[in-house]
Amino acid sequence: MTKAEYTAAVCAALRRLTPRERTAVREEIDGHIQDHMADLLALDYPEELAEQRALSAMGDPEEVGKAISRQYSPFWLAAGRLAAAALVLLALMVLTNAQSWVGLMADNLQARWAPGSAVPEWMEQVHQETDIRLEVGSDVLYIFGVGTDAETGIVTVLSCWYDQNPLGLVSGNTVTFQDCRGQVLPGGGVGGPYDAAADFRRQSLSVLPGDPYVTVVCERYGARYTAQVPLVWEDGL
Amino acid sequence: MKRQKACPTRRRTALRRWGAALLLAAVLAGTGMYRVLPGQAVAVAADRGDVDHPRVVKWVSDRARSGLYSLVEGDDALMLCLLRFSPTGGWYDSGSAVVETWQNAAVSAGICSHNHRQDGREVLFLFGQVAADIRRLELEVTTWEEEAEALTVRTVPVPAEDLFEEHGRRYFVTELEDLSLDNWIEGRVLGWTDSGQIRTSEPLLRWYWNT
Repeated sequence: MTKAEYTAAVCAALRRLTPRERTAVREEIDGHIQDHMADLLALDYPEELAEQRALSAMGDPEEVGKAISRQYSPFWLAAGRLAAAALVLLALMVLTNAQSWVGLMADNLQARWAPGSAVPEWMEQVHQETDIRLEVGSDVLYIFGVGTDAETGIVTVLSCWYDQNPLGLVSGNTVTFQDCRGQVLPGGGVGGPYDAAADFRRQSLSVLPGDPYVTVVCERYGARYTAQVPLVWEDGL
Repeated sequence: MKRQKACPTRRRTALRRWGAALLLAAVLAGTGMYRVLPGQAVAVAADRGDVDHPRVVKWVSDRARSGLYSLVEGDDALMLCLLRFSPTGGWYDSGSAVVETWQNAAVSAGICSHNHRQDGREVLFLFGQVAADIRRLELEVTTWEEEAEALTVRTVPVPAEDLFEEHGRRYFVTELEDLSLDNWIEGRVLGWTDSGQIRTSEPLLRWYWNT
């Protein structure tokens, strides 16, 4: 029996091994035989005799194959395959859910740091960039732009809501505006980009030209939150 | 001779894979990308409703078991939310109703309707918070009856077992059968104290959700 025939006989006796495990066993057997032969060749054995001695020392190939098979537990093979399936499933979940999760976080950060980039067409209507942030519960109302028209007395206020937690959600609180005399201002609002993480609004208010500020008011569960929004008028008003 | 690197055992391979799967599951659960526990969905609903410091008071299920309802108390508000489970996303909020409780009124109540598109059922829950001396509750509903072309007032008693005490406060949550918000005009909750006085809630806020 040659070395190749011996290894083939061991592999034929293997049961329930994966192709990768079979390859590993084959390499292991080959390695043992070659190591043994190398030792014998070092003692000046002829190659053919060294091979025969090394193979006979390995034992009956069928018994060796059966003994090796017993070392490979079918339980751990099944457990490993189940884990691989779970891993694939979880990875798919991460990929699908991370997409919306990252999208929400990006919208939150955009509203927090660069709201004007979300509504560039609105930014053309305002001449005064502001940074007024009003904490309302876990949300923040960010007034980031104000425009005034001295002829009509129309004030345009750009605002957005975002959650203090970058992964949090906005609640859609309503706000009202008052002029500097405390009168509630009529006026229409336009919704802009909106999702669970950021809510943009453009408010048009009618005030007396030259009013120094308007007050934004938000009421939530019995608490009242206010902030003054300074107005800058053109034409020296 | 140079030996090949030993093939990892089946046990080691399986344990490594399970370890990686657990790590991924922890990332999914920890970030909220996959909500393993219904409480995580309650936290999301509370964030959306801006209810601070939410604490679950009671878990209930409707008679048809179409979902899990959670009565949640916050600092100034009480919330009822319907939670459902999706294999791909875990627990999620399928529509919440919020009642303000900061006034400490004798009866604060709200009503929440979930219309289930799948089978056309409407599940109606009445919920709220009452003062400690309230012993009995009734819902008084004014509806517009199409056939009679008239307003009708009817009262629906809240079962005593649906009024309960938790954390030193009294709450109620009850499923209303044979009622619909379709022809609803106005509703109030009437509470009777130990001494027989009647306390009335504000007109009920109604919340509709299609699920």
